[in-house]
Amino acid sequence: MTASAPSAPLITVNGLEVAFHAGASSVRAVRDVSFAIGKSEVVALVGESGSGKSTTGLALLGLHPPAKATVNGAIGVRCKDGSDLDVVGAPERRLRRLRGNDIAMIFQEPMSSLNPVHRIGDQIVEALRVHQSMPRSNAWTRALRLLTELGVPSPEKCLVSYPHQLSGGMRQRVMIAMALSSEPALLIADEPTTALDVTVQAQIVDLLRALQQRTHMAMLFVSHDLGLVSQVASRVLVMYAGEIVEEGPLPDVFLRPRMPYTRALMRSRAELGATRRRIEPIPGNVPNLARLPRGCAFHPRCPHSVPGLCDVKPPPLERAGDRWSVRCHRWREVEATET
Amino acid sequence: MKKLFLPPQGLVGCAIVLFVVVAVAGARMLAPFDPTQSSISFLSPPDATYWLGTDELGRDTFSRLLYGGRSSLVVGVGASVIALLIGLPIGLAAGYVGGRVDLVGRQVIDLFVALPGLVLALIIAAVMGPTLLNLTLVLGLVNWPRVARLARGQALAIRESVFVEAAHAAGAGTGWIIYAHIWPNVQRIIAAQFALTVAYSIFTSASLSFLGLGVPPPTPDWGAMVRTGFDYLSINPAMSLAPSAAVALTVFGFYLVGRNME
Repeated sequence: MTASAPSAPLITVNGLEVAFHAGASSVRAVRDVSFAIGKSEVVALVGESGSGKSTTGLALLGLHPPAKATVNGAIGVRCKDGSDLDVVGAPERRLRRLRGNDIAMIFQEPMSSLNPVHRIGDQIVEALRVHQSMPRSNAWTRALRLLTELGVPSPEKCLVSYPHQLSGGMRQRVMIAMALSSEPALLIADEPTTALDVTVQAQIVDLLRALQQRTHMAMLFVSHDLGLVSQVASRVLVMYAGEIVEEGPLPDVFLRPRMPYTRALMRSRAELGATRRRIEPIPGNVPNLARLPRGCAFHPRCPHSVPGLCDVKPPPLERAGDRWSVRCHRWREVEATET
Repeated sequence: MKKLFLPPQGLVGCAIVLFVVVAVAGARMLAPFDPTQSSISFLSPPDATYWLGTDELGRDTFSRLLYGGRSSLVVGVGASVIALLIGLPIGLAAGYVGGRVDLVGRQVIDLFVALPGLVLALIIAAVMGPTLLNLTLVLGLVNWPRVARLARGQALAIRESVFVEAAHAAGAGTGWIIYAHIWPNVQRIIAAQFALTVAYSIFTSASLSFLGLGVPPPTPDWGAMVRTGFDYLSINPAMSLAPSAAVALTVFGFYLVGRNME
């Protein structure tokens, strides 16, 4: 699992903060998030619902409307044309060239990501022609080739179908085809398999992995399933309550997580073959982002928390080894205990 | 594009509308008499020659009925087209763009909705003078807020759908998203509203004519015919009832089409 060292990162996120406004108050959904993704690197972003992982993904494309959210920090992108761009504060016109072209995104819901009134072919052609000027007939041929490459059976028929005529897996393939149409340098996959059947999930994950290996695009794989992402990614970022709580190489983090939250996440998974192990849910709930606990955001749910330390002082993100960081006061003690 | 599927009641509505349109458009061939030509038999009851009798100037009511539909249909459709041309862009922009555009758009729409349509039309028609063109403009002006409000609501709902977010994430601009994603999804409901607006405009134009603010005589017009016949209701009821029935039938037809399209 030696990931190609990110010499010149494709995207560098520094101190990202996203706050949503709700009336007079605001909720900080993402707090001080920093990470980088290198060329053709596959990074996983893992966390529970409401941990801020999708919010982070959308921020990379500058998709938070200024009227509803305040984005601070810096998101540096090395564009395909060689220019550098800070997504935060970039004008909408410039962002439109970034979206789909340099960074593409696929969403969780393949059911509703396609417009029900247009044929599949027309939607792929639309995606192609947003960024590349080509005649319709050429775009149609490209669309056909894309679907063939993605293993869609009878792609000609698929192109003239309407979204409701396709299965979930096929629709997600179409979404992937649209995302790949402009050969993006980075693909953000926001829970691409969550809405699909388990067998189809495996197919889509295999497909994404194969595509990544062939095209060498970088990928940010957003998911709540650590086991799933360890099949695809070489590095993982674990988010909790808007912060990165652990960052490290895969499958090392998967096998020996250091942050208590990551451990709890691992223990709450069902696993094939692990007959004697109980599935342990994480006690309590994800904290309300508007009223975060003092100190470490995870301490009310943490079996290792110590009064006077964890509930008082917010822990910093500490280096815990080579390319491995943990946000926990007690990670050394925790590490000594049985996983 | 999708087929225009309609339930049975809608098809009945279509048949009624088609029937009225053919009868009115073919008035020249179908009418047995010149609608403005007087004869010596005044206020005669319906018989074999004058199917619906004659009016106080001896003109054939049936012929006048056929010709009288022209202004109603022209005003109805024309006013709806104008309402659509004004209301649709404002509604879609307000709903999709949101923020300040929506705030302003909503206030203007609400202002116009709050004005009583018939009274407004009455005042404007009285001030500008009763001509076919003015009537059409007035009714278009009265009807656009409904179209705008509907389009705004639809755009607001569709804006939140994932395919719009996906299009946004793929680099599509506002204009393109409205054209390719919002508009096709509001088409049908706007078409339904169009039919309802035609029904409403025909009804209102007949009301205005009844009040003497319609097409000036001697051009036959349903609303004016009802008004004139009103004075002779006890002598020759068909003179007033026939155009009333024509208005009712036409409005009902367009209403059925619109309601069943939604």
